[in-house]
Amino acid sequence: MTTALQQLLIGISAGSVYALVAAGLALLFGTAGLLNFAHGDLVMVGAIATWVFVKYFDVSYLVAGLMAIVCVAVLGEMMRRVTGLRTDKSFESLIVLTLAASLIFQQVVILTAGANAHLVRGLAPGTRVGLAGVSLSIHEVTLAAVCVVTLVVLDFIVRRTTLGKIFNAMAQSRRTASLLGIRVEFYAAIALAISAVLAGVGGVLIAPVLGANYSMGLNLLIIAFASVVVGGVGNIRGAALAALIIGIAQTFTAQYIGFVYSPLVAYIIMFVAVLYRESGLFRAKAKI
Amino acid sequence: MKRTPKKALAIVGTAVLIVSLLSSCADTSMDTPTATSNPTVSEDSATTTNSEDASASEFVLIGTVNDVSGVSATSGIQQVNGQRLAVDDINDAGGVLGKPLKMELADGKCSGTDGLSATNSLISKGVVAMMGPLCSVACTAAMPPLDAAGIASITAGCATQDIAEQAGEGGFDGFFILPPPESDLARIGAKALKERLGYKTAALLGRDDGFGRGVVEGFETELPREGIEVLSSDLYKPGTSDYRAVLQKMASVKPDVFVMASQIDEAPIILQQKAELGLKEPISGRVQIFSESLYDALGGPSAMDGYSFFSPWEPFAADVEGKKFIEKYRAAYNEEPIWQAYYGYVTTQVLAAAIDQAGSEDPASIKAAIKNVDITTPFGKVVWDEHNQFHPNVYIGIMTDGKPELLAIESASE
Repeated sequence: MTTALQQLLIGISAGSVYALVAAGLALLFGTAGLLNFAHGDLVMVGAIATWVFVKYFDVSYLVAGLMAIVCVAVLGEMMRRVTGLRTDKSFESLIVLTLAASLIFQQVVILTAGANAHLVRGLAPGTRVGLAGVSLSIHEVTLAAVCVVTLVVLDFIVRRTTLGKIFNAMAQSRRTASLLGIRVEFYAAIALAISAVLAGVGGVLIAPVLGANYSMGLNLLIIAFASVVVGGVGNIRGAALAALIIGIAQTFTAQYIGFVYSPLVAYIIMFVAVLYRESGLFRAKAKI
Repeated sequence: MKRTPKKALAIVGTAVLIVSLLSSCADTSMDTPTATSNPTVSEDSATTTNSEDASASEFVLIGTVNDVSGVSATSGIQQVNGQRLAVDDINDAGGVLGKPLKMELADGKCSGTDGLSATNSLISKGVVAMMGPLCSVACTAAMPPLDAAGIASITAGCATQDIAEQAGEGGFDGFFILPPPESDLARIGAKALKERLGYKTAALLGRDDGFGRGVVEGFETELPREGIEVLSSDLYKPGTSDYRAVLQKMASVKPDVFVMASQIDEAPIILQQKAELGLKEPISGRVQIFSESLYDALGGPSAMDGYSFFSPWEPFAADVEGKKFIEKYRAAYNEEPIWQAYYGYVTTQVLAAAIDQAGSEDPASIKAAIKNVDITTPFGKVVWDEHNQFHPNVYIGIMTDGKPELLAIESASE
């Protein structure tokens, strides 16, 4: 029982970051129709930037993290401007542009930071809090808390603010939204910026757990995509919940079936979800 | 434009497939700092820029298929660096057969298809003998064309059972394996875990590739022979970054020791995650992981105390020749060498000695000379078994008071 509970906590910790990454992807796709293949690499840049600031600027993890999030947000905007990402681009163009951005980000990191994983010290390394035989590190507790707070804030923005109403209008129909006077490209840029910030936060939080490595974005992107499909394409709550489920399912697979099968979990959940509920688990209940 | 759920699903589903394909590509052939799109790269200090244009009489041309990109690039780059140093040293000492030695590099990328094309490209360049590949999938792909061309090769990797079974008598008799086979390391390691460290139970974790599976299977066989019970055994896919679930699983069976087979760039992450999980079980491993960044992340060198290791070579325990190599390596590449670097260096020396012993550049003569090469390496005198496998000495050590301590250098001969 203790083992199962401990794995549940690890799953929640992993799933929290997955949820943050998936929510950013879902927001951008739901509102702007932009499928960002470089989203995982924005997470990676957040992690690498955290390592760089801690190691070379000799600042604390918290300060480095804040600086890294700003960097990722700026990088997201640069990517939008340089690649000319617009909502009216074809799906094929979006694949090529964001894939190119993804590869460029990876190559730049390889050339500047190297191909090896870099270790980052998080909050209170080695300190754990627990109850009844199960425990989490201070960093993992903080990570889960920050993810929950960030997702709640995002949910509030999407559902209770004028910006959220605009996002929802764009999710319904960008053409109609445009006819109503909404500056669709401007708000698509806002969605991309929020999505990049979420990726940056994810990268900062995950760096002390997984290390920082140029290829780490790929796995996260696969899980984020699977979460978006399972949760109902474009549905932020659904994607976040699906990501949490995937994170927990992966840890239980490792414990009771075999760790080598863990990477398959995201695909199996996606396959089963699509087989039995084509529109995803939560599509009918929300717009984004 | 209203996007229907079905259409959107199809789009994102396609995206998942594309990303998955990319991910699998990353596992086998993605990029690294010194990656090159050229199939072969000249590695000597001669003025010639195109070996095909150069006369074979000006130098002795050898090849190396190694991984300067892909998932084994960290080891591959070190090995090529070691080979470069050896070529320089050999040429400084007069070369082989009275001529300078020239080495052509082709990137095997730790992949079967790339290993095959790299091997073929070197054969077409007219190499008289070869070194490599490093990865078992590339070795499997390289052996048939090497055999067909009558070119011998000495690998400083591929020390797995399935490769050894294909090499030597009755198989590819021109393929030679220099590092200790994983079965030797597992046998010697299991004995040390029992006799020197007194463990009774173990949980195993290895990379899901030829190396990791070889180590795990070796320990699954050898530990019970020594009376150590294997409580759990797991593999992980190359590219994995979150090991917390499997570490927790290993801890849940309450073993005396975790036995681990990881690449040098994965092990620090595993150790950091183990420390963050608060797991106190000692680790025993098949990887060199002593680095300042790891010490920093774990809170100091003493955090590694109790970590025991079995490896083909350990720089901290180097002899006089090994120390000279370390100094040269540091000066040339501004980094610390790992065992693959020294094995790359020694492999080149063994091949050069065989070419001198053959007395000609005829590939068949060189193959025969390798089989009977008369050279004593820092790991012992080279003697090949029936599978052309050398059984060099194995280094056993443990971290004590924040420093690696050599427990023994064991002879691999049974």
